[in-house]
Amino acid sequence: MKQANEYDVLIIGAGIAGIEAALTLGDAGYRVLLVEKEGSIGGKMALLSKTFPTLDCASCIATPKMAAAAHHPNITLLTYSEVQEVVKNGEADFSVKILKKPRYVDLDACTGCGICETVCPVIVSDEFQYDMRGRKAAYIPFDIAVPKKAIIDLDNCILCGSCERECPASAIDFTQEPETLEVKVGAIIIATGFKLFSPTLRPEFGYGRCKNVITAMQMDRLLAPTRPYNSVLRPLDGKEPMRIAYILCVGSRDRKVGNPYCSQICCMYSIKQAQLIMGALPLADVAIFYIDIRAFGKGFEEFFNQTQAMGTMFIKGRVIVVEEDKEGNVVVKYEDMDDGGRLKEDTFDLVVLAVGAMPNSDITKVFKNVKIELDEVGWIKQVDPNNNPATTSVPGIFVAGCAAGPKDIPDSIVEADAAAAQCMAYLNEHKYGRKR
Amino acid sequence: MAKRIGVYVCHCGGNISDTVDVEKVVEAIKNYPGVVVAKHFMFMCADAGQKMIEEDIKKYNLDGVVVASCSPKLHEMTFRNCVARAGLNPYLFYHVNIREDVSWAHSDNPEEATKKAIRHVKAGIEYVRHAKPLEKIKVKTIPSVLIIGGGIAGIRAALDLSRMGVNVFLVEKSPFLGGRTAQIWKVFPTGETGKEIVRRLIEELKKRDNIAVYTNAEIESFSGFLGNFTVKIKVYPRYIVKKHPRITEAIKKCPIEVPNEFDYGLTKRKAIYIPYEGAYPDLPVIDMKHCNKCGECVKILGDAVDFNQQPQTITLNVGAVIVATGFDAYEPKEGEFGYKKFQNVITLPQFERILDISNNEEKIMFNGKEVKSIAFIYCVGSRQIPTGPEKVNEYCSRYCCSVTTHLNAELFKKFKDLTIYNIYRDIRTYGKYETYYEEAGRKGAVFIRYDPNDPPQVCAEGDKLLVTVRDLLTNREEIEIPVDLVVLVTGMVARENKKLEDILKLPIGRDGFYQEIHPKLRPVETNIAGILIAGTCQGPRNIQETLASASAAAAKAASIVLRETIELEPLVAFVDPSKCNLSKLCMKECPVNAIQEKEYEGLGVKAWVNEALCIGCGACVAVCPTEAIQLKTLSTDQIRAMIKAMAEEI
Amino acid sequence: MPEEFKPKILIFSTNFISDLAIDLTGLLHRHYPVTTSIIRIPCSSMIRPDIILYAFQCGFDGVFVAADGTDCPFLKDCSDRTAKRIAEAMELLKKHGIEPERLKMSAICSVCVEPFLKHIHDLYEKVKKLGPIKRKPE
Ligand SMILES: Cc1cc2nc3c(=O)[nH]c(=O)nc-3n(C[C@H](O)[C@H](O)[C@H](O)COP(=O)(O)OP(=O)(O)OC[C@H]3O[C@@H](n4cnc5c(N)ncnc54)[C@H](O)[C@@H]3O)c2cc1C
Ligand SMILES: Cc1cc2nc3c(=O)[nH]c(=O)nc-3n(C[C@H](O)[C@H](O)[C@H](O)COP(=O)(O)OP(=O)(O)OC[C@H]3O[C@@H](n4cnc5c(N)ncnc54)[C@H](O)[C@@H]3O)c2cc1C
Ligand code: SF4
Ligand code: SF4
Ligand code: SF4
Ligand code: SF4
Repeated sequence: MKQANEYDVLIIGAGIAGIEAALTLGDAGYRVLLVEKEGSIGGKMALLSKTFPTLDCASCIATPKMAAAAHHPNITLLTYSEVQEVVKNGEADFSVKILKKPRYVDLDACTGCGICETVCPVIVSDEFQYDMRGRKAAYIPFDIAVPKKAIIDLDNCILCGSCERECPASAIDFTQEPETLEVKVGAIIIATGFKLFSPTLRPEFGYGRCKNVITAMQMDRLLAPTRPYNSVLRPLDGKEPMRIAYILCVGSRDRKVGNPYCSQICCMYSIKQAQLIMGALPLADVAIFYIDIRAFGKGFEEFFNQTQAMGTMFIKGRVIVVEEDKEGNVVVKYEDMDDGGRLKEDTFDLVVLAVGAMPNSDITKVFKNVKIELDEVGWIKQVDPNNNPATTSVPGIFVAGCAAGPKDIPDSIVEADAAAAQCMAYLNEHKYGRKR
Repeated sequence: MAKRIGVYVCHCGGNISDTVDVEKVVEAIKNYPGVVVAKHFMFMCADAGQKMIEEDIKKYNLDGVVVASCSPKLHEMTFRNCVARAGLNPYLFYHVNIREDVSWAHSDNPEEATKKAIRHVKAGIEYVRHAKPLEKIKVKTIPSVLIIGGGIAGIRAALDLSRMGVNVFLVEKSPFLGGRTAQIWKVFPTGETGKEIVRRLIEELKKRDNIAVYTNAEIESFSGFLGNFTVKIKVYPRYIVKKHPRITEAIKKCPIEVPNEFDYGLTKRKAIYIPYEGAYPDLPVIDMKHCNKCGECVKILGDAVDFNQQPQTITLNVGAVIVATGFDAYEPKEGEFGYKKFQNVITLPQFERILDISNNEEKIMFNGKEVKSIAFIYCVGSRQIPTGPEKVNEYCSRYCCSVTTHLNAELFKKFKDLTIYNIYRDIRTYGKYETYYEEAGRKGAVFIRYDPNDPPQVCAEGDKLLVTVRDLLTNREEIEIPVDLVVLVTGMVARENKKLEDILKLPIGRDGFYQEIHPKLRPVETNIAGILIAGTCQGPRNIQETLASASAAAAKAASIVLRETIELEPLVAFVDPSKCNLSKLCMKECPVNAIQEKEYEGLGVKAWVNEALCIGCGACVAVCPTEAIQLKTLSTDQIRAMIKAMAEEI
Repeated sequence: MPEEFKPKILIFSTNFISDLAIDLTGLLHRHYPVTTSIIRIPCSSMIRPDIILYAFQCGFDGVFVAADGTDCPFLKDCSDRTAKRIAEAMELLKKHGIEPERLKMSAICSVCVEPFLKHIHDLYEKVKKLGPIKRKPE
C-alpha cells in the first residue's frame, strides 16, 4: 500500500475505540492514519469470549469492524508500528514520526496460510492467549487477526530458515529493517486503551503462588470461541473445575496499590463469565466474592438478576488470603460482610481474579513540545468533562475509549465517536473552514 | 446473460493446490457454457495475478469473471476493484471460496475435495451467467440536521455539527433550553452548578450563526429517508415578541402565581415568567393556561406582548435527525417511603432545588426548620424487584449513587455539624466516581446496607422522621434513625413522549428508553437509518456520558451529511412490475417498510422498493407468490441455477 | 457390494454471520463431510420454501440452513422468520414425499465452529440412515 505523508487525523491504538473513531472519520470523508503497536488490530475486544449483557460473541461482532477498517479507502493502517515523536507546529499542524517495526514478512505477499507457523520449530509463550498456550517464533497473532499476516519474532527465532524455505509465497524477508515514517497530521486521537492490573502486586490473592489461581482475562480466553483448549480447564492438572470462585476488585478501589478507582468492568465481566461457565460446565458451582455489585449500565441489573437466578452465589465478602492445599485446590479465607464480618473459609478448584484496569499512558511521552495531562491515577485527563469530554489538555489532541479511564465496549464506542466529532469540528475550524 | 466468462483458480501457493487438483478443476469447467478462458495461477491476489485478470478482461472482452481462491471475506473487494479497473462492472464478478470451504476443510480427501471445488466453481459461473451490471445507490444528502430536545445533549450535538459547518435546527418543546441539568445544585467532578454548565454551552451557541433554535416547538410530521427527511414542526406562541428593558418589572406586576415546575413547586412563578435567572432565550413566556389576560404586563411592555400570536408551522428539510429528548425523574408513589405522607420526605431532584435556591444560606432550611440530619434512601424507583405481572423498573439508574455520594461530600464541605445516613443496596460509584464514595465515608457519612426484600420504613416521630432499617453489615440488626429530612434517591425513567414516538416510529427498549440498533457496537444509531439518539433518552447516564453520546451522535450525523451523496452497495430488493400481482405480502414482511405502491406506466399500481430504505435482508423475496421481488445481488434464478450446477454429478 | 451412500448436502450460509463460522472451520482444518456444497446468502430469512424443495428435486439428499439467529444484522426476529420458512418448506417436502428430517436449520454464530460441525455431522448421519430419496419417476 502506498503511504501518503499527510493525513487529517492520526489515531494511536487500534482497539475497538481506535477502530470506531477511524471508521466514523473515514465515512465522513477524512483521511485517517491508524497506528497499532501489535501485529493485529482489535485490542482486547478481539480476544474476549462473549460480551455482557447481551452475550454477543465478541470476536464475531468485532471482526466486521476490523475488516471494514482494513478495507476502508480513507483509512491507512499501520500495524506493528509505534509513534515515536509528535511535535505540534501550530493548530491543525502536527509532525509525527512513526517507527515501522520489521515483521520479516512481506505484508503484500503473505497470504496468511500459516505454513511458517507450522514448520517453525521454536515454541514460546503466546501473549495473545495470556500465556496459556504456546506459539511459534513465526506466528499469526490470533485466529481473527487483521491483517491476517505472519510475523517473525526475531527475539526467539533460531534462524533455522524453515519458514523461509517453506513459505509458498516467498513472503519471509529477513533483510527487513526498521523504518521511520514522517507524516503530517491535523489532529490526533489517543486510543491506547488500558493495561491489566498485575495480580502479583497483591500476593495474598495467590497469583503465581497457587497454580489454580488465574486472571479473568485468562478465563475470558478459556471461554472464547478461539480458545486455547476446548474446554475450561484448570492449569495445575487440566481438570475441569467444579467449584470456581471469583475475587472482585483485585487491584481496584485499593489505595495500597495506588488505584483508588473502581475498574467499572470487572463486576460485569465476572457475572458474564459466571453465566458462560454455567453453560460450558453445567455441573460447576460459581461463587463471586464482591464488595458492591456494580451492574449499572443498560440491561446490566437484569443480567445480574438472571445470573443470580441461574444459581451463581454472590457473597459480600472481603477476601483476606488465598492458599493452596495438598491437592492443589484453593482455600479462600474471607470476612462474610452479610454475616457481621465473620471469618470464614471455603475451598475451590479454581480461583479467578477480577483484575482491574490500569492506565496505559506511556504514549504521552512522545509528545515533544506539548504536555498531555494525566489524572491522579495516570489516565489521560479529560480536562473539560462537563462541557466537552473528548478534549485533553492540548487543543487538537483528543482521547477515546479506555485511554481516558476504564469502561465497557459501548462506552468506548461512544467516546470514540465523540472524539471523532471533535476532530471534525477542530479541523473545520482550523484547517478547512468549509460550509456544507 | 454473460457469455464471455473468465475463470481463475488459485493455488494459494499450495494451500489450495496441495489438496485440490486445480488443473482438473480448470479442465472440468473450461467448456462449461459461457466460459471462454479458464486458468490457474500460483497467487491470484498477487499483483501478477490481478494483472493477468485485467489483461484477459480486455483481451477476451470478458463480460464476467469468477475467481476461485480463499474466503471472500479476505479478497472479494480486491478482485471487485481489480475487474473494475479493467472496465468491467464489479458486480459481474463472483468470488468462490475453495480454500477455507474446500481445501482446508477436506484436506483428508483430495479427490472428493476437487469435486467439491468443481461444484463450487460451476455455481460461481452460473451466478455470473445470470448476473446483471449494478450501480451503487447514490443518495443525495441535505446538509442540515434536526435535533429534537434542547437539553445539554441537544445543545452539545448542535454545537459540534455547527462547528463542522453543518446547519442545525434545534427544536425544544419547552419555552427554554437547558433541560434538567440546570436544576442541579453542584455537578461532579467540577463542582459547578448545573446552570453554569448550561450557560457555558449557551454562550457558545449564541456565537454560532448556523443553528436555528425553536423553543416551544414540537414535531408535527415526519417523512423521507436517510439523507433526505422532511419534517414539519409547530412553534407555539410565546406571546412576548421582542425584548424589553422593563421585563422584570412586568413580571412582578403579574397578579397570577402558580407553582414553578422548574423548582418542583417549591417556589412560585407568575403567568409571565422566566423559570430561573439566566434561562435562554432571555425572553419570558406567557403561560396561557393560567394567564387571565388582565393586561398588567401589556401596560408596561406595550407591543412587546402580542396576545394574538398564533402557532406557526415550519417545514424543514434535513439529512439526519438526532433525538435528545431526555428523561423524567421517577415520581415515588404516595406513601412510598412516606412520600407525600410526611412533608419532610422529598426526592433528590427536589433536594437539589432546595440547595440551589438557598445557596447563599449557611444552614439547610426546610419548612422553616434547620436540617441537621439527613437520610438518603437509595434506589427508589430503580432496581425494583418484579413480583407480579406489573411492569417495574428493573434497571439501575446509573447516575444516582455517584451523584448522592458526591452530594454527601459537598454537603459536608458547606454545612457544619451535619449527620448523613446513606441507606443503600450497593454503592455503584463506578470508575473514577469511587473517590466520592471514599470521600463521603472519610468525612463521616454513615452507610447502612438494606435488603430490598425488607426495605427501610419511614414514620413520623414528633417533627422528626424515624427510619427503621435492618443493617446487613451488622448482622441484620434493626436500627432506628431519627432524622430531620429523608431524601429519596429517585431514579431516571423514560420521558412520556408518545406523540413524538408515534411520529418518528422510534424503537423502544424493554426499560422504556429508546433502543439503539446494536447495544454493543452502535449505541447511538437506531434501526431507522438516519435517526440517531443521544443523551438520557437512550438510558440513564450522567452529564459527562450524556455529552459524549451527544458528540457521538453528531459524528454519526456528520458522516451522513458531510458528503454530498452517500453511496450504498446495491444490496437491495427490486420489483419486476410485470410479475407483481400486488399481493402486498412483501410489504407486510419488510421490517423497514421499504416497499410501497407505485403506478407503473402501462402496468398499473404495483409494488416498488424504496432503495434508500431497503436494508437488503431479502425477507420479502421469500414470501412473494410470483417471484416478482428479488434481491439485485442474488436473484432466485441465480440461486436456482447455482443449486442445479452444484447438484450435478461430476 | 453396493457403493456406500454418501448423501449430498446443500448448505445455505449467511454472508455476515454463519459463513464466517464455516470459514473458521476450514481455517482450523476441521473436517466435515465433503459431499457438501455451500451457497452464501445475505440473510436466512430470504430462503423460499420452494427453493429448498428445488434442491431436493435437483438431487440433494439433505439441506442445512445455517441461520443468522440473534446475531442477524438485519432482523431482530430473524430466527422466527427463518423458522417459519423452514416449517413451510417441511410441509412442502412432506407433500412431495420427502422426509422433512432431511432439512435442518440452526443458528450458527460467526465463530460457532463446534456447533456447525455437530449439526452438519448429525444431519449427514441422519440422511445417511434415511437413504437416498425415493424419487417418483417423473
Ligand atoms: C477480562 C475482560 C472482559 C471484558 N469483557 C467485556 C464485556 O463482556 N463487555 C464489554 O463491553 N466490555 C468488556 N471488557 C472491556 C473491554 O475490553 C474494553 O471496553 C475495550 O477493550 C476497550 O477498548 P479500547 O480500544 O479503549 O482499548 P484496548 O482494547 O485496550 O485497545 C487499545 C489498543 O491500543 C494499542 N496500543 C496501546 N498502546 C499503543 C501505542 N503506544 N501505540 C500504538 N498502539 C497502542 C493496543 O495494542 C490495543 O490494540 C472486558 C475487559 C476485560 C479485561
Ligand atoms: C437530581 C439529579 C441530580 C443530578 N446530578 C448530576 C451530577 O451532579 N452530575 C452529573 O453528571 N449528572 C447529574 N445528573 C444527570 C443529568 O441531569 C443528566 O445526565 C442530564 O440532564 C441529561 O441531559 P439530557 O439532555 O439527556 O436530558 P434533559 O436534561 O432531560 O433534556 C431533554 C430536553 O428535551 C426536551 N424535550 C423532551 N421531549 C421533547 C419533544 N418531544 N420535543 C422537543 N423537545 C423535547 C426537554 O424539554 C428537555 O429540554 C443528575 C440528575 C438528577 C435527576
Ligand atoms: S527461521 Fe525463525 S521463525 Fe522461521 S521457522 Fe526458523 S525459528 Fe521459526
Ligand atoms: S467494577 Fe466491580 S469488581 Fe471492578 S473494581 Fe468496580 S466494584 Fe470492583
Ligand atoms: S446508581 Fe445506585 S442508587 Fe441509582 S439505581 Fe443504581 S444502585 Fe441504586
Ligand atoms: S430486502 Fe428486506 S428491507 Fe429490502 S424490501 Fe425486502 S424485506 Fe424490505
